[in-house]
Amino acid sequence: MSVHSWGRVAASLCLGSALLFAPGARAEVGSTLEKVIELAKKEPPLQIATQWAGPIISETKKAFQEKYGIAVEHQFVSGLDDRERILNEALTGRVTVDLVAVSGDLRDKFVSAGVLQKVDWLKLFPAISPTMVNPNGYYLGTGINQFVIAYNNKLVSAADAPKNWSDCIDPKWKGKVGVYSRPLAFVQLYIKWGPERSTEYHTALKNNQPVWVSSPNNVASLLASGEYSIVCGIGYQHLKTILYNDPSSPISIVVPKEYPYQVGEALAVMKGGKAPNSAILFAGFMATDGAKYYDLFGQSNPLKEGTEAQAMVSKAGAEPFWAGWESDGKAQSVATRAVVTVWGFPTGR
Amino acid sequence: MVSIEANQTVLPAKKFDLVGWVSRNMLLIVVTAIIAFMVVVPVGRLIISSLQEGHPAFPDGWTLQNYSYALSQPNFIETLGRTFWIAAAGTALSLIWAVGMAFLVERTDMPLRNLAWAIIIIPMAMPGILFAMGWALLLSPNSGALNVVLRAVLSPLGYTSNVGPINIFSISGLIFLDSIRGVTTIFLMVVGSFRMMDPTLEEAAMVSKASRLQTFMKVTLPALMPAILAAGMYSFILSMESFEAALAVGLPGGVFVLSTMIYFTTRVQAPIDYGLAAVYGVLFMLLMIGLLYVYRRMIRHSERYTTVTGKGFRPRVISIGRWRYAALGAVGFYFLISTALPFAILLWTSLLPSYRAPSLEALGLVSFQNFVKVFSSPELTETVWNTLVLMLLTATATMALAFVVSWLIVRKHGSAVVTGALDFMVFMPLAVPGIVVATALMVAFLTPPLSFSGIYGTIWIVALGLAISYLPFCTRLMNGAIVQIHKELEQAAYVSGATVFQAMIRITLPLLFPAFAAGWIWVAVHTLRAFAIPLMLSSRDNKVFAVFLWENWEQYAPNAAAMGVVLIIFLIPLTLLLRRFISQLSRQQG
Repeated sequence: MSVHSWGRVAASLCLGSALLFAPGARAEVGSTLEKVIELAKKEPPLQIATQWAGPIISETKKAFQEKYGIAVEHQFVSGLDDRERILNEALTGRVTVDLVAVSGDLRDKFVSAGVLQKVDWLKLFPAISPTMVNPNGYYLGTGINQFVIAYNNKLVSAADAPKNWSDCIDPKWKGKVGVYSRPLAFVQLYIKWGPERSTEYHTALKNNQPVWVSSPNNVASLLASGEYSIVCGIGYQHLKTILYNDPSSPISIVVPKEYPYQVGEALAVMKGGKAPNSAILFAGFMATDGAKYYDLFGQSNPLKEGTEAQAMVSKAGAEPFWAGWESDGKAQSVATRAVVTVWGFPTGR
Repeated sequence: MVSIEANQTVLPAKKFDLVGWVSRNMLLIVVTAIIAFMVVVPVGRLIISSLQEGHPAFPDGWTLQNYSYALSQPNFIETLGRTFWIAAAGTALSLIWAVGMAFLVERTDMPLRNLAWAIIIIPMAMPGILFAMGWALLLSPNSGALNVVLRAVLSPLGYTSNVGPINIFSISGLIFLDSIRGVTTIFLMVVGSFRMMDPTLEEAAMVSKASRLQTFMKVTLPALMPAILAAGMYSFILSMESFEAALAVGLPGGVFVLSTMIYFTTRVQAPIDYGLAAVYGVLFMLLMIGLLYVYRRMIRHSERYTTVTGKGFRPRVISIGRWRYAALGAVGFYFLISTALPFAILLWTSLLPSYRAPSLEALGLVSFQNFVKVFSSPELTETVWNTLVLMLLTATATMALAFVVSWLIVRKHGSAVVTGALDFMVFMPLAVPGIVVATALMVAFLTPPLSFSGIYGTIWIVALGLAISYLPFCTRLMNGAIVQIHKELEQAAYVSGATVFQAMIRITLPLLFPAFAAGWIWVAVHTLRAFAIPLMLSSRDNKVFAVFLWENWEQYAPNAAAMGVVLIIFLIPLTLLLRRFISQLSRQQG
């Protein structure tokens, strides 16, 4: 075979491979709810990626199937690595997820990478609260992360338990505080308090010799074992999963007076997905009829009447606080960096 | 002088025959190309990323900023020094344990040596994250189950504190875990040398009236020192990369080592800083290359020693008298701390609805509910299938490649330059942490031209990543085994008309079966418990059991504990099979 023949074979192989693995033609997206439903029914099963665990998965899948007749396949994503993987794949044209819950510190990056589909959420679903729609038009807030204090009720009585963040720096808890090493709980507080008060607070927290733990699950296990008496700043949903499975667990929850929350499940439709209409429909469902299922995962909206979160807030007389969508992305990274710097952790750029 | 000149003018200069050279070295060239691809992809990608800004798939341009930032970090040198010291201390303790136990099971009349042999390698079955978290629950200073027992025991002796006496969340805690984790690898690497040692050296010492201890310290140990140091260096390199223990017990005590420093500076704060991560990877790799150089020098000596062993003698069994039972007790103690205790706390967690410290009250909550959940998970079937496919694929491909590579290197087939390059390249992955291999493969196979291969998102890319990581150990194992097989056997085959390939497959490979099988099982066990590479390269279609376990660990610890128990129970028979094949290998070599 001549050099030219080899060249032709190689070129054909490259072209063939490119055609074989190239993303298919982009699916049409409906402009009205009726059209979205019509198109969604013709799409393959919806692929979603969220951090859900436990009964919320089966309950929402069942309810959505009943309402629209559309099947949903769930993929668990946690932390940054999973979302970065989805982003990396999308950047190179490989889209395996139709709807993704993007964590706060990556939301800017997903938008600037151009991998998301813009949706007119309020036009399609007028019942949605406008505050739950990101002004950039990409994200729809559905699940809410709330950050609580927890204590081991075998070691600490309800009366002695900390009531607010300032109690965590009380020297009486020295060496008895557990803290999750990813300071998500303190991001909103950092924005509310400002850098100076935050630095002062986290210096005092560090002086209380907390035990830093690398995953929420381990934080909870060591609290239940009695390694420390209290945990300051942990996502309620992590404890909810444990309490759902074991109501007699020795872990009790305190809703602090200053109650930081933020959109935890910001759902966005991936460009190039095979079921974009189903994705829109599902996100809208989770922001309206399906929102009640967030009670099962501890991610309901503390400002919405009838939710578990609202009842907790009301009972504790707490003041929920969220700095809005602008506290995502870069603002969250800045706050995270500032907090872990005070804690003495190595920090990136 | 004249005749020489005449000859020089008469004889034509010999031309380099490229076609002939290629045909003579075809197998070597193909294998070297495969290894070069496997090594160059991650290493090359790492170096390029370290010099780029932005996302590695879509860089913004070239820069040296990543290096200047990394090197200006105030804690970098301090952390590096701490990591070095922890790894050195951990390895030294591992060496004492491993060499001591290798001596006991191979050279003494300690009772139950076969059982001891098996239980020494069982810890290999326990995934690092479960082992580390198990010890965090056992020896956390306030509530650790063992600390509670120790306080009760020491109380009559005047110990009144409510804390301790042991704090696993410390540098010494890290060293402790590191030392236990390193034992199995060192043991597997040195135990053969103990079995194959020429007894005449020791007999000469005994004849010279040396005591048993003097003989051991002055003859046995020095004779085996190259093999011991080589194994120690290998283990030290692995310790430097150690991550799970550093995260589970280092972080709570505020102790950062290199791996956790890299993790926190590049992966905890979004967006992930690929450039900085790559720089740390390159710096780490340079350090490891230095260590590899030392390691390879040690290997040279150890292999020279091992060659002496093919004489068909059996080492003398040394009677240790009444110390026999104390020795067995020491091995039992090792089993207790390396396997039994962490497994027990894992089993305890798996039987509860949520974690509680061991107590009679908590005993009332024990059930098999978590196991029922694990076995009724709809994802389980597909995940187990993927895991089995990955295990078979990785173990077979890695060992096949390791066998051919070792054969080419040891038998010095083909060009010395290419063989030398192959020998160097095949050890390079030891210097590249798994997480770096995974990131490099992800970027490489998501971007052209490799994106056209279509292997991203499949089991194949996970198998490739694991094969790269395990090649250094497997080639080391096969090198040692091939050295034992006399060349004359293959030469006899050539004389009978066999080709090089036929001789390799029909003569050498069957003789090496025990080593091949031992390596195969070692890879299989490590594949099943590996986290870092499958986590980075897994997606919806290629999820394996370890990733499934990790996801559960993130969601609900008791479920993950149940999965860990199942995994370990599955892995233990595999490790016992490993013992059987290694034993067979030793008998064959003897």
